[in-house]
Amino acid sequence: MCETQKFIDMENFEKISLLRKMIKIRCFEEKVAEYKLNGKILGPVHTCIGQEAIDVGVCSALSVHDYIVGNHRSHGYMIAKGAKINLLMAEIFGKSTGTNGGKGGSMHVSDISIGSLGASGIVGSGLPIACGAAFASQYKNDGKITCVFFGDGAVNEGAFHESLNLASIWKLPVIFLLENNGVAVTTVLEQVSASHDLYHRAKSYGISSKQIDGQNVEEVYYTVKSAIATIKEGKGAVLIEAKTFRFHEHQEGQAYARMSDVGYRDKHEVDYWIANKDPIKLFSNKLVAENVIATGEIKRIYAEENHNIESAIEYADISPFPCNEDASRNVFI
Amino acid sequence: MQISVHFRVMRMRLVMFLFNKKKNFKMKMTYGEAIREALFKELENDQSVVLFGEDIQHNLYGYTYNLVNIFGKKRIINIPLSEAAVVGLATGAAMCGLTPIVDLTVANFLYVAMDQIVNMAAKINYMYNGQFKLPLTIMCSVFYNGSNAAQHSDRPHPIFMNVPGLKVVAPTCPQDAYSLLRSAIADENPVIYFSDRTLFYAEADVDVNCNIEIGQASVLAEGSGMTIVVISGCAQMALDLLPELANKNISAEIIDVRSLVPLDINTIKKSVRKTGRVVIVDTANKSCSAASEISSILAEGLFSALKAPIGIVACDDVPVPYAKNLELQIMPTKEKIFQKVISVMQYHK
Repeated sequence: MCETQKFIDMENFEKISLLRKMIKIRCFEEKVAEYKLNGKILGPVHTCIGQEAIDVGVCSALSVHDYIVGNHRSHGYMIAKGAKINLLMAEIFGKSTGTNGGKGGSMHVSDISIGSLGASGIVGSGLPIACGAAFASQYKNDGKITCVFFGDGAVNEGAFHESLNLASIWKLPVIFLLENNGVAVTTVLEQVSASHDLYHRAKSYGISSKQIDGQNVEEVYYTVKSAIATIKEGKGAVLIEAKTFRFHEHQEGQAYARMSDVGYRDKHEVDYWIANKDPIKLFSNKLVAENVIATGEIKRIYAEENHNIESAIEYADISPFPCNEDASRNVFI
Repeated sequence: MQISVHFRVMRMRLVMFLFNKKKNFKMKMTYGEAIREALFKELENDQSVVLFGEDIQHNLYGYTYNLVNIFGKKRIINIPLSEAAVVGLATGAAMCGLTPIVDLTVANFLYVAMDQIVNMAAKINYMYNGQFKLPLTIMCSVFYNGSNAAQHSDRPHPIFMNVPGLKVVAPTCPQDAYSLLRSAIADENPVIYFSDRTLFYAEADVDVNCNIEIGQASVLAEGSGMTIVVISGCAQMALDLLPELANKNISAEIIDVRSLVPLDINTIKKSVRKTGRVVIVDTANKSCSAASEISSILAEGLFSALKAPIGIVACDDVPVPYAKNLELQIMPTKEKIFQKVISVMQYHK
């Protein structure tokens, strides 16, 4: 998969669809950040603001039947793969109507109806699960692909290395989607990894890999399409390192907001990325320049998506909490 | 070793064939052969069953003998030494419709896979609110009393009793080894199956059509004056004591828990209500052991029925030493059980 194969260009409506999905995720995440601050959301929430191009590029390239495995920062993948935002928001609010009946919360959102095999808050631990889903697909020959999302923090976990080796020796139909945002909570990659180009690590396991611009939704989309083609040829797993940037702190809320002043990363760099590398701005500008969409139309999309998110908030807010009996339900099936 | 296993398996299959004709399904098997027979049956009955393990294709102990030749390398899979990733992989495969069995051989190796067992397999049913079935079986053996030293001799079943979402079984005879393994594989929840190497070559009749549900204790001997609750390999020690106890006019009822999660506390309580006295014997380290948990449940819920303090015989809270005399010193033995039973019998309020 050294070179991204050429695919027929997306139709205009498909490009607009990518833009709309990114806007939807941005609106959702901004609302989540707001409701964490006002205390409506109790538990930890990690937003993907700034990284939406990866969620949307990947999940738009996958089919509805393909599997995804998430991590602690999973709202974006879920929305991009087709999760209903009402149910997602209800889960984050801890309500019985949520994707997990209020028992998982933000870090464990899952919905098998859209191919989501859940999300793990233990960094790196989703990779073996994804290999298992891919093993099952290979065993049953059902043609499905599994994509697991993880960050640069995960590449120093043993599970990363063990999983790459398993995927390689068994030629599993899995995409390792490494979102390298350069920071794990407040520890920058430079402090914990001698190499900052993490896709090289895949080579020692015999897995083809590529580094791409994670802010460019089309590049993500076409790279994943190409990876899927490689996998369908029977060549086994692929690792994609998408370079990106976390616009917000590790988590939302008061406590983490304070971390932006402690100096673990350069403020100018943060400002630079927000001003110049916002994936939604970049793609909006491109589509406007190509006459695919008018600025007014983009504004209308924002208004519509914000309206939908308001409805999701209302739905989550008025939904009931789980009943007491639910506490002991589903320990076992 | 392999040749003798081969003959035994051939003989077993021949006997099985003849017995099947007579509609009689009982035959003699060792504990290890019973495990193999259960694996064979489940692999034969269900194409979704796959067996992962270290050296599983050419297993030293014979309990996967010839399975790779019968079912092929696609289903009998040698794994790299990546316990964590393989348990995680099996978990993911189970979520997507397969029925994986992972054999990690030595119980201590479970610790290497701890994150995947505890944070993933055990919690998926709950945190994803029942969206997935998780028919995962993790097999391993406890290797105590064999001079295997500190890192290969643990009996860690109580650690997993403290993890909601895992079923835990510990069979003590060939029939239970066979039936509980089949039930574990058929179960739609993650099950940890602890076989006991001190029992591995014990031989007994096995009825291959006998179904034993996980969560049922077994009364190995009936009695009226003393309840002895046994876990794992301690069952045989207690059974061996019966004549000596009879000589002392002690009528002992022996209850093998068989399954630690779920624990059949009702069968234990029923016996203790009758006898009023109980000794619990566990191979695990005493602190937070299965024995101490059962003791706690009885003290909390059955205090008025007790005629004497509850007795516990378990392993001392030390890592397992290599020297044979030292290992015997810390482990439960027949003598220790006998002494404890006598002291509980002699107690009067």
